[in-house]
Parts: sequence; C-alpha cells; structure tokens
Amino acid sequence: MRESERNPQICPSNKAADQDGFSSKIRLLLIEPDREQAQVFGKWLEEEGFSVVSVFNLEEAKGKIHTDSFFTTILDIDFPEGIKQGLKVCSKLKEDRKTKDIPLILMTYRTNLATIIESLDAGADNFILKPFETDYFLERTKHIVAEIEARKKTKRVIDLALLRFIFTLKETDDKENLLRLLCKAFNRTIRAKCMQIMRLDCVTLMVHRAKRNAAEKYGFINNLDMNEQGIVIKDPSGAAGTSSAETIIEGFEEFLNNFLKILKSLTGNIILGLDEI
Amino acid sequence: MLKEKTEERSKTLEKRVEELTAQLAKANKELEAFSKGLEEKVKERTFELSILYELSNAISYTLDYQKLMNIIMDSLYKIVDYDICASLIYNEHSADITVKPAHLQCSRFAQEVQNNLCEATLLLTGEDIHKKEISTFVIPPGSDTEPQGIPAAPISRSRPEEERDFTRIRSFFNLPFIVGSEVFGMINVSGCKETLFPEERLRILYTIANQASDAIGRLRTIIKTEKSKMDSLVESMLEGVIMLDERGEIVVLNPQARKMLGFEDHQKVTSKDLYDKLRSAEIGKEKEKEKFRSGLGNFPIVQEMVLPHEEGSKTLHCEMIPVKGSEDKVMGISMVLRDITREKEIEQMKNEFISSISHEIKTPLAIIKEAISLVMDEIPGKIIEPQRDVLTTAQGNIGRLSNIIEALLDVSKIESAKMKLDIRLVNMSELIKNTVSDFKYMAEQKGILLDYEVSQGKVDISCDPDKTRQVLVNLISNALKFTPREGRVKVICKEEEDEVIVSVEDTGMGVSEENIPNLFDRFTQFGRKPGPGEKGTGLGLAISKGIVELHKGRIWAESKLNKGSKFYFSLPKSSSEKIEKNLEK
Repeated sequence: MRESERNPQICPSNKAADQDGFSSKIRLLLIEPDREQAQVFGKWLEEEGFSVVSVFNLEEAKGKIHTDSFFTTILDIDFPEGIKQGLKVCSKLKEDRKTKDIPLILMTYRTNLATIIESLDAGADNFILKPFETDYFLERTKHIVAEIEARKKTKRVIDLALLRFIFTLKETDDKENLLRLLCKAFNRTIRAKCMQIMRLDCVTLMVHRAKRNAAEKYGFINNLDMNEQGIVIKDPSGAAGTSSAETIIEGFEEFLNNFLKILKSLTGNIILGLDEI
Repeated sequence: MLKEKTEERSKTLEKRVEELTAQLAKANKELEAFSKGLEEKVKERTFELSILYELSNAISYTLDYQKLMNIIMDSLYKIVDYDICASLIYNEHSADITVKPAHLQCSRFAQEVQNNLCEATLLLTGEDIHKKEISTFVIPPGSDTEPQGIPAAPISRSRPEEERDFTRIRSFFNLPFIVGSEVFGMINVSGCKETLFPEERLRILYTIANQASDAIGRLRTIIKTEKSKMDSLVESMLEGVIMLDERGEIVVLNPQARKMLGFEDHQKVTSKDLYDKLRSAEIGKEKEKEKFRSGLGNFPIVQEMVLPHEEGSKTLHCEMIPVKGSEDKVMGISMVLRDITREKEIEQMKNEFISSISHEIKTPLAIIKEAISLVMDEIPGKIIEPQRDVLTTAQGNIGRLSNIIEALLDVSKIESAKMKLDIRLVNMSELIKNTVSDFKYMAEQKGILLDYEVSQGKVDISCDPDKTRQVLVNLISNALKFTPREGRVKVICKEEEDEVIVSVEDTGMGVSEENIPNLFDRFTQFGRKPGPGEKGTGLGLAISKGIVELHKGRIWAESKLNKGSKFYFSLPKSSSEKIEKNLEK
C-alpha cells in the first residue's frame, strides 16, 4: 500500500522552486516541543533534501512564519502541557490569516481516533502517525508534500490523501470514530471540491446514488445521511454494529468509488485524480 | 568625533530612508497589483451577471423546450468556448436530445456527446435513456439560432485564432437539471481543448444550469397544470375525444371515446388498435390522411360510422380536424365522436312510420281518384257543368296529394337505404334534351325562355335514367316555379375529366346565402310566397340529393337573392367506365 505509487500524477520533487525562487529546497517548519526529537527529525529531513526550521512553541512559529515563507508545517501535538495545547497551536495557526493557507501535517498517536477527529476539526490537513520508524516518517512526509505540490500546481486536483490515510487505519477498535472520521474526511476534501463547482442538490443526488449501490453489499452504508454540512452517520454505534473496521473501510471505499465514478461521468477532466482510490 | 558621529548617524538615517522607500515602493507595487486584480475580478463578475441577466430575461418568457435549450446553449457559448453542446430532457417514456455543434467539424461528435449524456444520467439516476424513445434534433452550426432578446456579449471575448485540433473530445462537463430531488435532464458542454473550463468559469456554468433547471421546472409545472386542466375537461366531456400527434400516436383518448369504440377502461390502446377499429368503419383512408398531412381541404371532415358492438351495432358521428401549430404546420388530428345510435333509431322509426302511413293512404286515394274519374266520365249518370268544375278541383288536389305521398315514399326509401338504382349506360345529352322538351309547354305558358346547352358528341354515363331524370325534373320545375315572367331558365351539361356536371340556372328570386346549406334538407322551402300558386312538397331537393349521392355524385347550389340561382349536380364517370368494362365482357 505504498501511497506514492498509487497516484501517478503526483510525483515528489524536492527541487520544486520555493515561491520566491531563492532556494531550490522545499522549506518546512517543524514545530516540535521536544528539542531532542526536533534535532533528530530535522536531521532526517535535511538529509532528504528539505530545508528545515525548527521551533518549539506557537509564538516562535508565528514569528518565523511572519518573516519567512514555508511550504508546509509539521506539528507534533504531544506538548508537555498535553495534547490540548498541541491542538490549540493547530487551531491558532489555522485562524491566523497569514498562516492558515500553509498546509499543516500533524504528528499524533495511531491509537487515538478521537484525537485525529479533534485535530481535523482544528484544521489539520494530514497526519503522520506515531510511533514511527525513520522510513515511515520520511516516506509520509515526502508523499504528503508531493500531494500538496501537485495541488498547488492546479486547483483541479482532488485531494484524496487524507482519505487514503484513513483507509490505512484497519486495525482500530474504535469503529464509531472511524465512521465519523471517514465522513469528516469526505466532507473536508471531496465534498468541498464538489461544492466549488456544483450545487448541493446535485452532490446530494450523487451521494444517494453512490450509497444505494454500495449498501447492497454493505448495509451500514444506509446509515449515511446527507445534510447541508455534508455526509453524517446516523447512529454510529448501531451502524458500526458487528462489522469489522476492515469491512467498514471496504464499504466506504465502495461508496467512494461509486461516487467518484459518477463525478467523473459528470465532470470529465475538470477534476483530476478521480481514479479509483 | 562629533562630526564622525553625525556622519554615521546621517548614514544610518539615509540607509533607513532608503529601506523605507524601498518598502513603500514594494507596498505600492503590491497595492497596484491587488487593485488590478480586483478590477479584473469586477469586470469578470459584471460579465457573468450580464449574461445571467440576459438569460433569465430570455427564458422567463419561453414556453418551448427547444427554444429554451437554444437560449441556454447560446448563453453558454459566451462563457465557455465549447465545440459542441448537447441537452437531454426526459420523462417516463421518451427523451429529447438537442445537439448543437459550434463548428462544422464537430458535428461528428454528436453521437459521442449523446452517449456521454446517457451514461452520466444512468450513473446519476439509474435511468436508462436508451430504453426510452429518443428523438434527436441537431442544430446545424452557423444557422441563425440567436434568439431575440439576447444581445451579443457585452464584453467581447477573445477567441484565440489558434488552429484547433478537432480529432477528439478532450474535456466535457455534464450539468444535470434538478428540481427538488428529481433529475429530468442534463446539458453537456464538450470541447476538443484539454482545459475548456477555467476554474472561475465553472461557478457561472453551474449558475446557468441552475437557471435552466428552474426555467425548465417552471415550464414543466405549467405544462403539467395545463395538461391536467385539459385532461379533466376532456375526461368529463360527453363526446368522445381522440387526439393523434403528427406521427399518428395517440395523445388523448378520453373515457367516452373508449366506451364508444369498445375499448376496456384500463386497456392499453395502441395506435394500431385504433386504426384497425377506424378502418373497419372506413375512416382514416389514405386519401384523407394525405389531406390531413397537407392541412388543406375542407374541414372538418364529417363521417358517420357504424361499429359492431355488444348490444347491436353503434352509429357514431365523427368529426375530424387537423390540429395546427405555429406556421400552420399540422401537428396532429383531433376527432370528436358522438354516439348517434339513438337518433338513428328514432329516425328509422319515423321513416318506417311515414312509409307505412303513405302506403295506407295510397290505396284509398287511388279508389277516390278512380271514383271521381268515373263520375267525370258520366258513367253513373250525367253531370252538369258546375259539378264538373268542383270535381276537376278535387281531381287536381288528389293529384297533388298522391305526388306528396310518392315523394314521401322516395324520401323514406332513400333514408332507409332501400332505394335501388337500375344502372344503365345513358347518353346525358339525350336525356337533358328530352326532359327539357317535356317542359316546353309549361315554360311557354309562363312566358319563360327555357333552353339548354349540351356538347355535341355523346356524353355517355352510367346511371339510373329514371332517377336521374327525376333529379332533372325536380330542378327544372323548381326553376320554372320560382322564375317570374320574361325570365330565363337554362340547362347546361359539361363534361369534366372524371365527372359530368349538369347545372340548371334561373333568373328567379334566388335564395339568401345563409339558407343555401339548408336547401337540401327535408321540408324546407325558402322565400315561398303565401297564398295560392306555386306549391311544392319541400321534398324535391332532398330526394334529388339522395339520388345523386346514391350515384356517388355531388349536388350543390349557388344563389343570390333576387338575382337567380344555379343548381348543380355531378355524376362520376369512373363508375361508368367500370360498367362499360363489365358490359364489354
């Protein structure tokens, strides 16, 4: 399940020019409260050809962002004061007019889906799950950066990275939150993109159609509902029921593929990256 | 020292000023760029709004799908530089596809965009368009389809003159028409360019689809309510109503028509079923269909038809009128059926009554006539002159009475289709000559000039000579009756290609125009002066009509009040040829 191999349109390039053209290296801002870890991560990333600036808290981060420009921010939310503090940093960065457009990759612990949901709400764009090996960390960073790069080149690319990431969470026991997470990710990325070019009633129809085909095999899909905010799951615990996390992901994948198929039949090549997930 | 310090200070200040100036310049530049961008945006937005405004104006007043689609496609062309555009509107049974290529080279993509629309519809709604009856309409490129009310684009859009590569469609967008949660159509915009849709145009593309959805939705609602209004009207009518479209498919068949034609209440009636029924009653013959198609000829076509029915046969009165759309194009046929079985029965009873009464009267009348003759021949004994005068009056009136009775019998025979023709080969000129000479004395008595004009050769025609003579006698005696002294009556016989037309022209009192259609009805007499003199039965013309029609001929009149009348009748030649052939054999 190498993500980078699945999307041929997106190829990581470390040489992509910085916006100002001063440096050929991609500049990353690393917000890591643990100085030791910051040093290690920074070293790894620099070896991969990134240019890294490390900061330890929100104030420092803001200061750097105001005077310098960055491609992406990587934020470790495991602050000594607790995750809440980390999430606060996340939402503060997304509230600030100057920083909100910089993609934000969050580092957090794999087991806790509730935290992932919370951080999605706080504005995180993607995730690197802890604990990790060097390779995983670098692979994911490179991949996410590549996706962001592709999206920067053209706004027509649909962002499936987040959903692809969630589809890897097959081992979780927290099936209710998994469902919530799937819906949230769908709304954040695909639905948001659709709403830029389509009316709500059309998106709603597409959801219903995609749902109908998937629900034949995966009954829980029937619990998906569409409202103004996007898709929601009615009665998550009931919907999760006896299905395993793997089945839930499979069912959602089916739904998503149906949806993308309809979207493709309507929009042709207006939106890129609609191939099966 | 101080100088050095001051110099240093001024240098720092200078540097600072430089820095500030540079910053200011940068800020200024940014501001300029920003305002320029803003200006562009405002321009763009204004353009979009102007198109939307035009569009909403144009479509508010349109009640025609095709027109609506055209307007929408034209508007879209101002926004998207498409190469081909197509729309699909469908309902339960049928689908209408309109294709509009922007260039001639793109006409060949017509099928591809149609398939594209159908596939997207299938995926979005599960509706398989290919299972419906599809009618496709292609608007040729360059044709003047610009609907009135939509002016040219207010901002001229640059259409790059670059060579287009028309090899295949590279980008497209299908915009569904949705009202509520129901999809009823889709519009497809396709182009051979890779990037037909700039990001900022997509939004307005969608806004246009919304406008179109609303307009079509409104149109559908109007049509639905109008249709339901018409439906309930047609359903509640006592007459049977059938409407066929230009393809001959049934559009309306109300319950009364079903009942009259003997279809079950919920039976699905195909156009074939209907035609079979009508053909059995000799309606919908080829000749008439042709008439309908051209929209020419005399309408309505009125026919009576007899249909076999469970409770004996049914007689239906049928009126057919072509339904014309804009520009007088025939869009279909409407038929109104009335069940006249009861009327026919009553008429039948009346005819039988008249016939039997006449027969009853005929016998005693003959005896009375005979008796008077005996008395006048002085067989029972001598009579004196005043007695003879009284008897002569009686005899005259008995003559009239028996004429009336004969006429009544003829009428009832004609109406109950009991009159039989004894067809023979007749020389029409000869017949006219003889008949006219029989009236010579009477005309001279009245001081009327009676003559005739027939072609020299033989005008052979096959008809019943006695009956035809009866018609001629009726017309001539009518003419003499209503023509004053010094008047003129002329009989003319003209041979046409497939018929012989005989006319009887007089310089009499004439008939007013509104009375002409009723001339041939029974018991009608117009302009009859009160008092003694010219008395008739009022049956002559009705009988003449019956006889001529029995010959498959026509009878009609032209007249002007106080100027004179002209009565015509025609007898077809075609039947004579057939008889000739038979005779030859």
